[in-house]
Amino acid sequence: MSFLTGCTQNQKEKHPDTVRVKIPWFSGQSYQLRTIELISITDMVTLKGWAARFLLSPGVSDQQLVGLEPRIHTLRNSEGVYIPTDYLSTELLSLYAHFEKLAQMDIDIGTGSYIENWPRVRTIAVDVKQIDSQGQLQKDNARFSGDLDAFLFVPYTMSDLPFSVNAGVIGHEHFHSLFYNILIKPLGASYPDSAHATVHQMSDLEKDLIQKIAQAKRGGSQIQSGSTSGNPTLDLNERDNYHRFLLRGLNEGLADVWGWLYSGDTSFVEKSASQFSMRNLDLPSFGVLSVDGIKELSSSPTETENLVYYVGISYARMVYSSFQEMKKENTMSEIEAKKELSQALLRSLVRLKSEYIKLKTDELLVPQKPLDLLTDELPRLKTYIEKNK
Amino acid sequence: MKYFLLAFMLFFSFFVQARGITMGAALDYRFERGMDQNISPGNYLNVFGAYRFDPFSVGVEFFQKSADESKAGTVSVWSRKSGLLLNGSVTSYQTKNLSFYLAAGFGFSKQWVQTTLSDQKDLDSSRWYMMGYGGLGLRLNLLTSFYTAIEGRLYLAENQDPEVVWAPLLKAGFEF
Repeated sequence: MSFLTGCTQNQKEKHPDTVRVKIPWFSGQSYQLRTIELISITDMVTLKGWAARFLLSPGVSDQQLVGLEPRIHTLRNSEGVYIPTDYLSTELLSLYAHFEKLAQMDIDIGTGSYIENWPRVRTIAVDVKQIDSQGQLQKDNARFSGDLDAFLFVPYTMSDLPFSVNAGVIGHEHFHSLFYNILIKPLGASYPDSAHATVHQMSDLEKDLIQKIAQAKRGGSQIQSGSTSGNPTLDLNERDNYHRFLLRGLNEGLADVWGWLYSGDTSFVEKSASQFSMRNLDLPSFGVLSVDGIKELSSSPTETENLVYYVGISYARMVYSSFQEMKKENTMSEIEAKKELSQALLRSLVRLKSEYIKLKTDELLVPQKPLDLLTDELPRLKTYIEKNK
Repeated sequence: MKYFLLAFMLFFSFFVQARGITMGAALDYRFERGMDQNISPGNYLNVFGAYRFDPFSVGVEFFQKSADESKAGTVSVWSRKSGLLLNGSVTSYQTKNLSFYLAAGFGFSKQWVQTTLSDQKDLDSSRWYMMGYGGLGLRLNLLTSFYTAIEGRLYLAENQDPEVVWAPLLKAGFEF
């Protein structure tokens, strides 16, 4: 049971503006074409409503996205269900549906207590023509831009499930917007790169990277023990790099957790990009890195982008495996347990922001700290986090 | 679709003995909005038959748009639109080989869509949508019974984007 199915089931009472659409939907094991009820659409042609608005192939002008408002094409079958008649319409209806369900999840868990004017209409850009650092058109990616307050989906060219119909990926991106609004934005320009998170940018999961992680973990494990309450120090540039790297890793890891909390799918990244099976949450946890481990990885001049995801994976697997063990030993419904976890995650982000603000200019945040804050907010999880360290 | 063809054949089995029967086909380039949001000509193929009693003509026309397919990854969407129109026209000016006519029609269309997600295929169809058109054309009689025509139409229809679609048609037919 996930928020995705929970939200669908809670809609038994008919909303006056309910429309039913047939789109690909995650049904516990795999994606199937399902009829989904949406309550917030006010215009089925331009797909307007309180959950989202769309821009097709937009450009950026004065820090604003400017683009064409797409028109979708559907037919209504004999049961009154809207069926998209082309791929773009399928993609947009799917995105709209997920952002509506995510907004309902936000209402359910009280995200509005931490972010002003939330939930709000989300701007979603599709078919984005973005040039990468090599001057090539980007493909097969999705990201949240904090600067533009928009989700950007570039064309999908692989042979798996497109990102724009993948519930976990959309939930993952949605979390980046929560992380940005709760943590990054209030911290100001200190850690701007943390907002530029993507679903994946790892090239290949090469063995030497894994080795590097292992080395970094070994190197730092002695320093880590007993030092979680103290704040180690580093010079200014290294310190900035360290925090950027740590925050980005944490952002990616918790976004993977959120993608699973929303969709119920532990292998959602792999469903769209099969080469990233390392991101599956149900693989064994290997603990989080130490201060020295993060220092070493964040100073790597060329592989930082890839290594960020390994830091993310360490957080994601730790939270997921600890949660599963906690649930096994406590009698609680899955949906309630997930609600508790998501609320605790949000509260821990608010506290993490305070921790950052409190840091002296020569201090470092210990990588274990975000987990300590999480277990403060969800004490039942503490034993299991400690066990998986 | 078989109902369309049946209606078409019934109509002509009734008129086949009569004089002034025309039958033909047309390429109908309706300027509709595509997935790329551009308004560009869609390729419809129309077949028609009419009974002509100068200066009037009444007939029936069946049209079908060649299937569109769009896809990304494991998701693909295939769709096709067909319809039937009852037509009427009046020739307003005529020389030996050339005639200028006004035309109008009314009928219904239906759309089918097949959505594929990995191994799952779902076929859905719409209800019958009402539609009509007004147009004008120029007909050129080339041989005793063969003619060609160009026609411009404005279609008004439910579930059409844009709401008013214009279309040039290239027609060719025989008159018995």
